[in-house]
Amino acid sequence: MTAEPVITALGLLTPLAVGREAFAEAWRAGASATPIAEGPTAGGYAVPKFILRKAFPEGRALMRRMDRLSKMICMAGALARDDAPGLGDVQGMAMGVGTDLGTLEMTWAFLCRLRDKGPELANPNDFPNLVPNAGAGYLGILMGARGPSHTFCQHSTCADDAIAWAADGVLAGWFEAGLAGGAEELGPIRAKAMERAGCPITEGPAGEGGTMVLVESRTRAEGRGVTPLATWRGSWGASGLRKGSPLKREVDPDAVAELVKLAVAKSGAGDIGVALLSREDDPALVEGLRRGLGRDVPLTDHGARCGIHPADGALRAALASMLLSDESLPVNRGGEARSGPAALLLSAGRGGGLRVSVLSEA
Amino acid sequence: MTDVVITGYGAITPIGLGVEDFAAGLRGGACGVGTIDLFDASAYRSSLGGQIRGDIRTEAVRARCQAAGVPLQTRYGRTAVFSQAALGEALQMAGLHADDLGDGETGLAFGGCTAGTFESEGTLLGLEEGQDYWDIVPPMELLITPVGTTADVLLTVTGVRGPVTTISTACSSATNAIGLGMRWIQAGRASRVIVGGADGLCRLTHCGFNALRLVSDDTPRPFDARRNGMVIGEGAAVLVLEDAERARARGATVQGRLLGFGNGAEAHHATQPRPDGSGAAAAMQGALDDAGLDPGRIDYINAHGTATPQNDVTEARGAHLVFGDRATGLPMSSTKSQTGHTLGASGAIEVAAVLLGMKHGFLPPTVSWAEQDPEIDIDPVPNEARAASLGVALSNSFAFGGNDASLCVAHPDVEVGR
Repeated sequence: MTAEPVITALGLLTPLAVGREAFAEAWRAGASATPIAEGPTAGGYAVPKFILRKAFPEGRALMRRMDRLSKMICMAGALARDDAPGLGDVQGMAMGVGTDLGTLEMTWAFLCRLRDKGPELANPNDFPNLVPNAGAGYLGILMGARGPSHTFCQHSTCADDAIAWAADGVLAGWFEAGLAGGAEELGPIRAKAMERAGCPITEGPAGEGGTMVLVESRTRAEGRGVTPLATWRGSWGASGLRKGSPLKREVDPDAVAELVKLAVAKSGAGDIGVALLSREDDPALVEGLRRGLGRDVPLTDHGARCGIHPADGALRAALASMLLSDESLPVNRGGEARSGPAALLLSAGRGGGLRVSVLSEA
Repeated sequence: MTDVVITGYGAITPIGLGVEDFAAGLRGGACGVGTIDLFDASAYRSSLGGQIRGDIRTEAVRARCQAAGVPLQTRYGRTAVFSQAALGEALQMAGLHADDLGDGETGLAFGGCTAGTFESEGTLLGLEEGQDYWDIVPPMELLITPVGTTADVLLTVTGVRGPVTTISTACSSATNAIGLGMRWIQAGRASRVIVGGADGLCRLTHCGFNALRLVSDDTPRPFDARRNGMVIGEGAAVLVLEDAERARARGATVQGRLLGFGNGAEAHHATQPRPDGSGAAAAMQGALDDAGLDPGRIDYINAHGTATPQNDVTEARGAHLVFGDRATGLPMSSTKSQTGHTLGASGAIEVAAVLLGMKHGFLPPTVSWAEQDPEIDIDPVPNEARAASLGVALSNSFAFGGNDASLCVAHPDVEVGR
């Protein structure tokens, strides 16, 4: 009986499927999300329509003020809550959310209105949604969670940072449980910005979604009769930018290899049997991983099947938990099985931020 | 529990470029609020701001940055310049050079909200007839807008190789970043963390707070009965946090000790605090509990003190919930009366103010205070800095989304805490 952090519930709002069971079923079947057919986000992947008020019937008035990204975060939180029977009192629960771009679409609309109509006609209801922690705040209100709350925004490590923070908090006893994850939305402005920045949304391809995972102490989980999905063995961060512009997303394979070695050694998790990369098609990440592990391991193909976005570290943490709790679940469409009892998440963000997290069978 | 100390800090504020100028401004009752000329603010409810004027790359700022190996790059926007200048000063005070930070044991946790928004919105709002933003915007402007960019720039100029993240929880961003840095050291994720926050003025935030009618068209008057809103400011502050043993081993001078951190969600409203002050109280009590301190050990609170009608009264109520009747005479001032509300930077700037008070033996005042609010029964240290031996203090930050945070800071020579 320790404060060892474990993952016990998953809330997945993804272009491939909504909810843990539906996602596992689609994943097992080798399915891919259907790309958006037309419009400014054509080629990207969007989440299906969802109705948040069904998840929080008492929160309808609040939802009228909410932006779409906040709704995605709240929906993912509700799905995680519903995946955690006997959750009990959540008042002290921590909330960690990752989002790189935040409410980019609404921010753009706010600025365009300022330009076109002047400041006197700015919408006061929109402004509070422009802060990246709006979603965490709304989810706290809807769930009645008053524990520590952080919102992380370091590009493609943002959701990894959020889950790592929650797990550290459980491990250190700062709180007993935390809902942590991340969300990002895909809209016309993100599409235009990516195009202008030289990385169109069809490369990757770009996606959206929200995923929250419940991290709690093994003691707490066992106390409510829950079998954990996975054990969180730890997360290690580093900066791996090659000297130069801070705006590049060029990854240094040496830094990746060094961090992977450190994480594997410190986690004590045993053989890494599957890796989940922020870009499975990034040769530098794959090379760094190979050098760090000293061998190849099966890689998931979530990016090609769900689309990628900066906060999808949470989706990968959830997928890793599913793979570790169900040996029959294939790692990828090729039908590969994981080759060991641990999973490694590797995320690299623009600017050089790296994070490696290790999970193992519960 | 690992003891976390502060070995260096730097600040760029509307009342001083560098901590000693800032200290002089605080002690002298300076007010950095004036008419914004960074952009045309004449059509807004208020045209006031705590703006940093002119080129901040003064001879003194350049010298500090040069000594610390920080290059003061300007192409990433104002916020990044403020951050680099504060970083250079913090490193120099800590006896460090940028080249010392690539050891893999040094991390970076930074807070903020706006990053390069000012630069990006300038292009959008300046479009001429028939122009399409997406045809003309330089990719650089797009890339510097996400809030994580400020940390990217600091990573690049320092070569930090340890963990890095950005926290954006609106007005409590920097306080949470400092708290996270402390947690990283306590959890063994790093033995030294560069922490802080930065935000530049921009039309987006100015417009938003104007639309919410939370701004004042006069100098801000925290805790005053006639207070009618905040004034947005800008700036940056950076602190060097270290594992005390590591700091001692390298012979660093300790500037202060970081004893505790409290953070929680109000779960109440997107923009309004719990009227009973229980959210504010929980953050303060959390910092005290984390420090292992009795409320009686606190000498001073650097308040969030925005000068909005709701914040100040609920913060005072929160102080009474934690400190009981002692709150009546407990010094609790708002340095936002002097700097304006620097949003995601404010938590770090205000910890710098606390450290300066500890170093020089004074309590920063709440300027422009004139009339007691019967619902605010605290000592706001009105108008003039007060000589005092400052041992242990709290620094509060409360934010949109109901995100409340408080830090407990001690003078290096005061023996308290775990």
